[in-house]
Formats: sequence, C-alpha cells, structure tokens
Amino acid sequence: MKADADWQAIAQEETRFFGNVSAAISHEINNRIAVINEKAGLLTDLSMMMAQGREIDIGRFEVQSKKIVEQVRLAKQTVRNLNRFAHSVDVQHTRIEAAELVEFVVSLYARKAATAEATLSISESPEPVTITSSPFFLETLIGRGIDVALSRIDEAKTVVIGVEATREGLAVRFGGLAGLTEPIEFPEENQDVPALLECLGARYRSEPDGTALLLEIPDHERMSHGRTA
Amino acid sequence: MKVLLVDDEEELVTALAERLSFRGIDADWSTSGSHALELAQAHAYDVAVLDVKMPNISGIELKKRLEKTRPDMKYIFLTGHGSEEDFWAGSAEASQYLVKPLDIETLIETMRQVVQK
Repeated sequence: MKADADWQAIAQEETRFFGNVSAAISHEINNRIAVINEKAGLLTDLSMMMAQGREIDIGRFEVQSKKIVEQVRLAKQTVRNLNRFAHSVDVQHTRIEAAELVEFVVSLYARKAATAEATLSISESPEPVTITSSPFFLETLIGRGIDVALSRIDEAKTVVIGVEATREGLAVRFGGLAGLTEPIEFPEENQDVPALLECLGARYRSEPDGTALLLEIPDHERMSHGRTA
Repeated sequence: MKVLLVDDEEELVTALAERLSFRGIDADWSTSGSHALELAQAHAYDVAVLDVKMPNISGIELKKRLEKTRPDMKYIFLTGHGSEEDFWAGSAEASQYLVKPLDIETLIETMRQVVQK
C-alpha cells in the first residue's frame, strides 16, 4: 500500500461500500423474518380453525414447520456472511484465495444482480490463485467491478466472473458486457474508487472489444519484496 | 374485496394469500411483475399489494404499468425497512405504505381504507 495514499477518500469509499453491503444484507435478513412471521401466522390460523372444529390436515403443520426451519437456515447463512464481511476489516494484509473471495462477494451481490435482471456466474479457475492483500479492499474493488459490469451488461444478462494469476499478482475478469469503454467510469457516489486503486497499485481496464472488465491487482508481498530488492 | 398480492418471496405471498382467504378476502398472488400484469388483464381487483423491491420490475414501476390496465385499482406498497428512499418513493406513489414483517389485521384494515377512499 502506498504510504502517501489519499486515506480520507479511501475511508469514504470503504464506508460507503460497507454501508451498501450492510443495507443489502439487512434487507435480506428482514425478508427471512417477514416470511417466518407469515408462516407463524398461518400456523396460528390453522390451530385456531382446528380448535373451532374445522377439519385440518395435520400434515400441513409439519410442512409449514419445515418451511420455517428452512427460512431460519437461510437467515443464518446471511448472518454468517454479514459476520464474515464485518470481520474482513480486521486484518490489513493476509494471504487470500482469490476464487473463494470472488465467490463470497458474488453471494453478497446476488440480490442486487437479480434486481438488475442479471445473473452472476463464476467461471472456474484452472488453478488456485492466491494473493497477499487487504481482504476488505479487495472485496470493495470486486464489488465495484460488479457494479460497473451490471451497468454494462450485454443482452444475455449474465456477468461471468473469473480469476487468473498474472505476473504481478491477480486479475479478476468480469465478462458478458457490451460497449465498455475506457476510462472506466464510476457513478458519482463512487468517485473515490480511484484513490483505493492507487493505494493498492491496482487498476480496472476494458478488453479492447468492450466485452469484459479486468481488475488487475498486484500482490502486496511481491510489491514489498520488489521494493526491498 | 378482491386483492392482488405481488412479492418475489413465494413463501411469503402464498402464506399471506391463504391467511387473507381465511378472513374472507379473495386474494390472487404472483411472484413476478409480468405474471401480475397477466392476472390484472384477466381479472379486476379492488387493491394491489406490491413489494417495492423486486427483481426485474420494482413495485413502483409495476404500479405504473398496472394503472394502464386497471386505472381504478388502489395500491399498497410493502417494503423491507421503510428506508427514507423507499418512504418517499412509496408515499408519492401509493395510497398506503406498510413495512414488513406485516401484521395481517393492519393490512386488512389498510386495504379497507384505501378501497373506501
């Protein structure tokens, strides 16, 4: 990381990303609560009808109870994601398995993609790619890459995301786009993204035909060794 | 009263429709905007209850399209959080605006109020 980075701009962008993801996750948790609330209400209704002498198939109670258990499972998964996301700020640098991190960010963005009528698909990497970097910064840049990709998605409506090793570190490829041009433009609320890129020595670029966005991130460990060599 | 419920959470909308039917309210349901538009073409509803945030088409956009088919139908919006953004969108567009999780008696009372307006 660059010592003379614009930390104020970086903090603003990080706070914004944290807020965006937290809001999406809280919405998801509330959806699970709303379904559980309705299922519990339905069970109460069925019980009352039974108490009043109406004939109710007893199997319905079991079916609805199982559905509540499934909603609890989904909510727990969402809470686990939130917990992992919150703890990603704990370490400044660590060894990261890139494909696994991409999969995690994709899971955080699933609903946003669905709202944009899009699907996020992960293309399997031929070999594991690891990088030493900041997990939270990487999550932010992958997330903002998905934001750009969703705004430039082609008619197939699927962003295909893959990782590959590069000489300097890692490249994340967001394919399935159309008409992407350079310089890569961010929405007004994300104008501090370049400060974060500069801090990590990373960059976004477009494939020449405009069908894919590439996020290139150098390995912090290699950068440090390069400086000391 | 005939009601159209639209929410992409199938487990929520089916349970809600059944609970309304127990209370004498005829409720059709849909998990997508396109299917909701088909239902509104085929049937007349007194009120549509629309989730604000849905994939493919938002509740606010769906209302605009439904109004072309059923100009007299009333609308209630549902939202997850009652965020400021949702509130202003909802308050400008809908007859009423309710926050999930729902209280079914409040929903029924709200439906009656908007239909009587």
